[in-house]
Amino acid sequence: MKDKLNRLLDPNISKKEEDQIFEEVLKRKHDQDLRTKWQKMLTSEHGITRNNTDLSKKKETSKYIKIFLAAAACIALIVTLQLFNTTESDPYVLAQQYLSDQEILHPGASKGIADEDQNRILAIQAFNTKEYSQSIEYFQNIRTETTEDKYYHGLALLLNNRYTEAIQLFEMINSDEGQFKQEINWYQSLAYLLNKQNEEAGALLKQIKNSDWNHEQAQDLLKMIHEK
Amino acid sequence: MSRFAFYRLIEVNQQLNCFFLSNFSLTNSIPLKLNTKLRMEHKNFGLTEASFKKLIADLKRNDTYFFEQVFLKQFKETMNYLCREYKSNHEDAYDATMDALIDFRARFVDGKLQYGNLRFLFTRIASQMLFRNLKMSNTNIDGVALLAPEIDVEPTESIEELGRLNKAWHILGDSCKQLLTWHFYGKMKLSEIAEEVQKTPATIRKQKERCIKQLKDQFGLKTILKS
Repeated sequence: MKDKLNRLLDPNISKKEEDQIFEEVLKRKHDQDLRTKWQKMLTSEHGITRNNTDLSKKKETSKYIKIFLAAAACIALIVTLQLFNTTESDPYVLAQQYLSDQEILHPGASKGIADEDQNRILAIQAFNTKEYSQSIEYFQNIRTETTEDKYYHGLALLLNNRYTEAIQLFEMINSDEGQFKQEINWYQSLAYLLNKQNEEAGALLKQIKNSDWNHEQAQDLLKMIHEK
Repeated sequence: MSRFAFYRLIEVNQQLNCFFLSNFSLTNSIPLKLNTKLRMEHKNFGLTEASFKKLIADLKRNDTYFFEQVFLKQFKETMNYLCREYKSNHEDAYDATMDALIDFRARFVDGKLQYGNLRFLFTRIASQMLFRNLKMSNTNIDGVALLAPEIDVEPTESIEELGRLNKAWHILGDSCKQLLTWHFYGKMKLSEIAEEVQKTPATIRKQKERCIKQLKDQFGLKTILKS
């Protein structure tokens, strides 16, 4: 590199060689700048450092973690068994089960959306990596939310256990026959149940027709609501 | 490429595909067409084709915000992959992933990357960086010697000379810094820069010459002072 910088001072250097040297030395400089910047960002925003200083600490604490995990597994098993016992009669538990059983992913922005809002892209990414609170923030910052945005925004709220806000958003977009009508009916019903609004859930579940998505599950939930 | 390296790459590809399929279960709620699209975006770090183009345009202007939002999130996952697959230690995996990030940025601005399977390519580049770095430090690992030649080994950087360049760069005006960065680091043509800053190509050409002269004068001055 030293030779190259000195070569630049040669008055007989050709334009082509000069450009090549500048390209190379500036790449070195900017790459180095980026490395420094990204190292800082990785440390501060992602908790990743080059030196694995936590290793010895991890070894010391690993046995405690194992004990803790074993205890947590036992508790989880007991809770799960209890859940299965109560599933038969509690629509709240069944709603929770339906929600966790179905993997919900955003398929990406629809074609025809000319406005490639960066917040939309980040919201979708966060949604698909299950970082729902972050996804909600990005959805809120989208300049003009489409029905699709609102639907997934509502889902992010629902999956983040913010039922009241999810219901408000679903109610807003469920008033007309839109492209997500069947999905919204289903998830809004689940949101009502999880928010202990069984009456509203029942009314909405009745609207799910034979040919609609999740009709059978809706009937199961209705049966439980009536039994309660 | 040797036969061993070829099979090793196939193996890596298969492992990655298995990972995707097992971690991306199809649900009844997502139609097949959407699933295909979803898988395509998963292969490209969640980027749509439009956002892929935007990412390149941003990088050409040395705006790395979007790139950082997308790729720094993959850092840990890639490190874990290197540690798991090649039994790499933490530091080596960190360095290789960082090198892959730097290399990926360059490939984006060079127009060498296509929307397809960026995730696989990124993992592959990180693997090759790991092999290259280990080869440079003469550390043995299975398959290192066979895969390493695909990426050129850069000469050792002179910290002193980089400091000399940084000092000269610091004195340069903002418009010169922007022009030289966009052109040399972002690989933008002078005509593209002219369009971007709403000036004529001739003006930009002259400005580039002036900026280069300023930078060379700084080098010259420092060399004289040094001697």
